[in-house]
Amino acid sequence: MLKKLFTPFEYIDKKVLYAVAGFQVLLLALAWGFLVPEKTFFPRLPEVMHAWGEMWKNGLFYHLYKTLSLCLTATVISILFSCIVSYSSVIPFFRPIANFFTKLRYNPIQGFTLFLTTATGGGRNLQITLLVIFMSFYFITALMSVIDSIPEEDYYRRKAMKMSRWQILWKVVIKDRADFLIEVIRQNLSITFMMIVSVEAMDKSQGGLGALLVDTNRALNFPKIFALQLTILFIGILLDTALKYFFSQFPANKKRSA
Amino acid sequence: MNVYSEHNCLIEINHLGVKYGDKVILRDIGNETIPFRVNDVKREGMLQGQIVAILGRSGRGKSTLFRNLAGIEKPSSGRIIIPKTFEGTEYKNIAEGDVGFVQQTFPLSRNQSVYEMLQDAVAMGDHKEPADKIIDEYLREWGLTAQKNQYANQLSGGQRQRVAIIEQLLCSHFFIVLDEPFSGLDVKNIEEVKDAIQKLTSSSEINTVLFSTHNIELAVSIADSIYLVGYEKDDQGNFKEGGTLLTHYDLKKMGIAWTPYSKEHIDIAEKLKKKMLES
Repeated sequence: MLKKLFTPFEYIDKKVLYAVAGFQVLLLALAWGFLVPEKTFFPRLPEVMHAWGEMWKNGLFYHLYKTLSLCLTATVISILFSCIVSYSSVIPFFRPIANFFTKLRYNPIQGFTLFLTTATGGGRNLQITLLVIFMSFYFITALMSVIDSIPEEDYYRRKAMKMSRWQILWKVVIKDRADFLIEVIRQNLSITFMMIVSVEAMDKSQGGLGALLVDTNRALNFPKIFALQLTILFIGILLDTALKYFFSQFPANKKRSA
Repeated sequence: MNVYSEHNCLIEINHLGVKYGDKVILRDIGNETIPFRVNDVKREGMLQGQIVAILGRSGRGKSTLFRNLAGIEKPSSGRIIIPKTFEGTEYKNIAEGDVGFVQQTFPLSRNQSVYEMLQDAVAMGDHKEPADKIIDEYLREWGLTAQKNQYANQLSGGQRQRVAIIEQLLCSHFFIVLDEPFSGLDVKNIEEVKDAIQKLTSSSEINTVLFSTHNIELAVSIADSIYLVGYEKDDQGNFKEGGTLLTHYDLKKMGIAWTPYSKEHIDIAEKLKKKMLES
């Protein structure tokens, strides 16, 4: 078994893999807890845990809630908008417009801040608008890639079934690939979180993990910074796992049963 | 010798050509030398549909021909005609949706059960009976009752193909084009597909199946008409661009259609193999 673990392409039972991962996390925790020297700027694990406890007592849950609700609101609006743009890319007139949106992902978020602050009045509206706009560029790119990879045979089948082009759009592109929406969100979640933390930092009055991170950075409170990063990491892993689970519930993604 | 008679033309290809840009894919399919015409065949005391095999080496344009036969692609020149109604004598150019098309990969919906897929098909056909009843009947007839609530990734290759065929039948297609239906199937599945084709053509006079295959013996054993598509040679012995019809064997006229596999079938298979190798 030990040899297999260090041989490429070997099949290892899932339970064994989880055990290996658990062991690696434990090793890391022990190293962090006992091997990091004192009196360095790198925070030790007990300091990070203590900082985390302090933040929890001082309203970490509130900031978590603000971040997650901002994430959900922006994601829902962005996905709706992205779906409209992406699905309309199969209509020739709208294809260049959809393509243009995918190119806009090269523009940084900071360039539009002042303009959008003026347009939205700042605050929560600004945060949502910024997130929706920039998340959409990534969602549209990913969704168009999904649409472009639909095999021609899928369209031929429905054409031979006498379906109209609009029926084919609904059945083949939208309905039969609804699971890919979830996968697109999951794959772009890390970019989403990066953006959320940035936009929350722009207006700290709205709260959120981003606002907390900015203040903690300014105070050079390294244990708190690490505690916040770990929190963001755990939330990300949780959301990633949940989305993966939802994706796997679609018939196309379930393991074939005998 | 099987007694039969030929009646109305069901499908005819006239001087069909397909070009993608400057590249000639198909050239003059269905001309005066080798016409492509499928007539309604009648045999005394039984329902007899038509089975046409189209053979040819890879890359000779069979799939392109089939997409044109299914009305999914428009030819660059020439036409394919079918009757406007089965009772009448007026003809029209083939259009998308006129002919059922079962592709080599038998694509099915990713997230629909067999039942849901067939519901979609029933909705596109002209049926007077309730959808449930029709679907259950077809599933029973084709041995797929147990697969009713299964999804595409739970079906075997043969089951997927049968679902794909039933889909096209439920859309009220009398003509069905099967692109490489035997490709990648095991022995049992091949027999299932053979039975499926026989079942199709023995349930209605008008049902016509056109299929392509690399398996010459299979084609000779079940088809009543065989066309070979390939590259023709010019006077210098060079291949001309674009696939065309090289030969046609009408097994009905030869008296070996609908008969058990025999020496005559083997002879035809050998001749076809030789011609295929030269094309």
